[in-house]
Amino acid sequence: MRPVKVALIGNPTVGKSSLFSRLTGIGVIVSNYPGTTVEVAHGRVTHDERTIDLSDLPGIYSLDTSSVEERTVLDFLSSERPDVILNVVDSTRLERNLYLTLETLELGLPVVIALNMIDEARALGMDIDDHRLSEVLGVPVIPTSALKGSGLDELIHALFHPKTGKPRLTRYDRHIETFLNQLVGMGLNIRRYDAVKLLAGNSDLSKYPEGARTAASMMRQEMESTHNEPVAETMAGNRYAEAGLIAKSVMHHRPTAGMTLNERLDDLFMSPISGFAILAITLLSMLLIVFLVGGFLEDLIVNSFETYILLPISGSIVGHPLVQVVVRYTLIGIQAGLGIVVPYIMTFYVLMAILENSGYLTRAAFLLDEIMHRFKLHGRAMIPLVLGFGCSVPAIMSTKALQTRRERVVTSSMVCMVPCSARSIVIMGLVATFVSIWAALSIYLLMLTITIAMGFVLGRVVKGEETGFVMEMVPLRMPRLKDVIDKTWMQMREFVYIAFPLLIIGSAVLGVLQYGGVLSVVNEILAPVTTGILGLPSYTATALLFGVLRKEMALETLAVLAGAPVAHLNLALTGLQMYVFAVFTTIYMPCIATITMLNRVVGLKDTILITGLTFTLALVISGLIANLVPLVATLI
Amino acid sequence: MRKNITEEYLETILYLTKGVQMAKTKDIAEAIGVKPPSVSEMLMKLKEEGYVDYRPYIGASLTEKGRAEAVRMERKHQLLETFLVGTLGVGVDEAHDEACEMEHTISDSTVDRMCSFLGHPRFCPDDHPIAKGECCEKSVESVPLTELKEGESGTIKIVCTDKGTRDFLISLGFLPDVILSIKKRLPSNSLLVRIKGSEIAIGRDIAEKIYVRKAVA
Repeated sequence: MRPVKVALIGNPTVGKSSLFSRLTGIGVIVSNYPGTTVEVAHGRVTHDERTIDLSDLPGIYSLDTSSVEERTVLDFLSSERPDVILNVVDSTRLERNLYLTLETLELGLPVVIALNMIDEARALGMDIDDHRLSEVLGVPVIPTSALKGSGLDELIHALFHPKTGKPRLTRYDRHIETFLNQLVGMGLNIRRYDAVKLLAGNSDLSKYPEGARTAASMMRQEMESTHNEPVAETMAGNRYAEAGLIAKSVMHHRPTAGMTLNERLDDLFMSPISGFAILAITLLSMLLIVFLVGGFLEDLIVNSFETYILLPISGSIVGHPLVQVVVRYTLIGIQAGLGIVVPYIMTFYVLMAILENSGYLTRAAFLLDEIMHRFKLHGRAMIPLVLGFGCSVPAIMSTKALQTRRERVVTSSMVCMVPCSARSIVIMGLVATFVSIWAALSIYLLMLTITIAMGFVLGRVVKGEETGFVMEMVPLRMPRLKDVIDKTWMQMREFVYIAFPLLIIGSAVLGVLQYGGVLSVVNEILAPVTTGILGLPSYTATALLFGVLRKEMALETLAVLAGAPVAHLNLALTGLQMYVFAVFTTIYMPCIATITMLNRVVGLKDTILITGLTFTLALVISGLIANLVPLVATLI
Repeated sequence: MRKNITEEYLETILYLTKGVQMAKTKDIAEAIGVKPPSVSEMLMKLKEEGYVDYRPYIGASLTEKGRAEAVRMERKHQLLETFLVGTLGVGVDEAHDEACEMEHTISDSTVDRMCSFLGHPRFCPDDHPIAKGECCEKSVESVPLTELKEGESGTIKIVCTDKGTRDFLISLGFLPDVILSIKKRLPSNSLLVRIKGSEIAIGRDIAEKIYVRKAVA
């Protein structure tokens, strides 16, 4: 039997991805931040020897074509032609969610509704009659809780047996209904859904026959002259009115006495004074926790690796010197990977997952809107920047959720300047460990300044449309341990499966190249820059080249090349050299993966411009530091 | 073309009768740039159509109907001028000439939208008062959302943002006659609004373009 194709549709942050991962067992990133799912995820459930192919679509508020997410959903619907639509509805925000439900019902496909977060709604004193809702809408309605996993069996059953009854269609204004019927009755194979689109006229209509388009545009003009507002608006008003009526008829709300804990918290998070104080404390403590916990784990891992593995093995290898070199380099590579990548990146992602899933991130975006405004950006652009502390790749991917190209270009460029966890590894592992924690913080401060300056300049230089900030505030939720662990693992996975082997192979190759004398040739060629301008030992050129692959490899390679374990780098470099190296690594061109993502989001031309800009900046700034600091030191 | 001429005449008479009872045929002829006999002929026609009171040798004045039509045209002219000069930066003289042409072709609903877009201006570039349209009446008692204090609520009247934002706002339920309340207000005038059972954060620049009527507490 052919698998049943099911598409998950719903507003942002209603738990589509949670439900998807509950049903399929496939990890997708579960988030409590609008716009997290920008690409479609696919998965499969087999139940009683029948298969469902599930697709998790981005969250949308309506089926228009004005946003990227909405276009993705509509394209998916027309190209993939799902058999059933699973409309996920947030029970706590029923009225708003039913708007999209009503639009979805117009599509004419079988629809099953998951009344998700039913337990949360009950906790808030909302009592929803799901049977009544099912009667009113004419489609199956299954109360679910993706959180507790309840209602899933019933849901799967309903997906196999979607009722093909008469779904509830929005009753529009009398005139509109007449026009819709006329359009459907034109005999041009126009269904009600097409007629609605034609009459609303705010999407791409080129696929419809000319006659229908002309008729619709005349009807539109007539409507607009009598109603004095665009038809699309009248229709949206009708739909919202209907959603409101339905919500009222199936829901009893007994508001709990006084403010709930969440409301109290929200009040603190978003009041001007306490809000900004909490935001500052949160961001600072996040950085500190990454440093402290990461540092602690790093020591633990690096030291035990050295004591129990590196020293015993390197002491006992015999044979050809090449074998010795390769084994030794490979081991150092593994040590660097385990000791540096894991502690810092994992800690960062755990914290980030907590912030995001609790819903705090949307509050932060709201508070920061004013600050972002100075770069002629808005609060939404803050999120890619915060994500950028983890990894530039998902951060740049998340700029797709921004509305205009201008915002995407400016924000992506700024993201490239935010020290990602890989760059933090270099800063932490080199400067914080051997110079001082304050020196490390000064690099963060420097980067912050550069990022702000860059945003300020680009915000004015890059031309294009400016849009404002509008974003749904998601409810505060207790982040679930499992989601946090899953999400951390999914984001770490990339490092473990791709970066780690690369690192180990890279180290081994490095060993061979070193042995064969190739590296010294490369170093010679680049010496005017490394030694001349930056005052670094010439072998750092190789480290910087490897850093393009992955930024943290710059440090790992450096350790390998300096012939010292990561723990003893201070024997090979001076404090200033480490500082300059860290600054240069942090700024100079984005890593390969970031460049690839940039190319996808902003196109080749801007990618080249951004890369060139960062390289120049890196040379100028670290060059200045390398040459001015000694000068100032002699003066003092 | 005939409609344009009518409109042009009415507007001229409106202009010439400011402060006086009657507009003289000679003055009308001079203002429009035609010979007095043609003016007399046209005035007779306008009289037949009920737009003017015309007494040969004395002059013409507008009837109720003619006046309404003339005011409507004048308003179009002034709003166009305001838009051309204030928003597009067209020179004043050029704007006047072009507004004279455009006023005859632009539709009422487009002018109303232009009026909303301009924030229902009270005066045109040369400081003459602009007559209030229906859209202005609607907005008279409405204020930008940013004027509401924390805890206050209101009813949406008009949303004057660009199309993309407007579509997004509509899908979130920001439609005329929908009730909303201000849950939080930051010093920067960014607002957290409760609408349709959920909370929406709105930046200052957009909040300023959403007009609401304050609910009486």
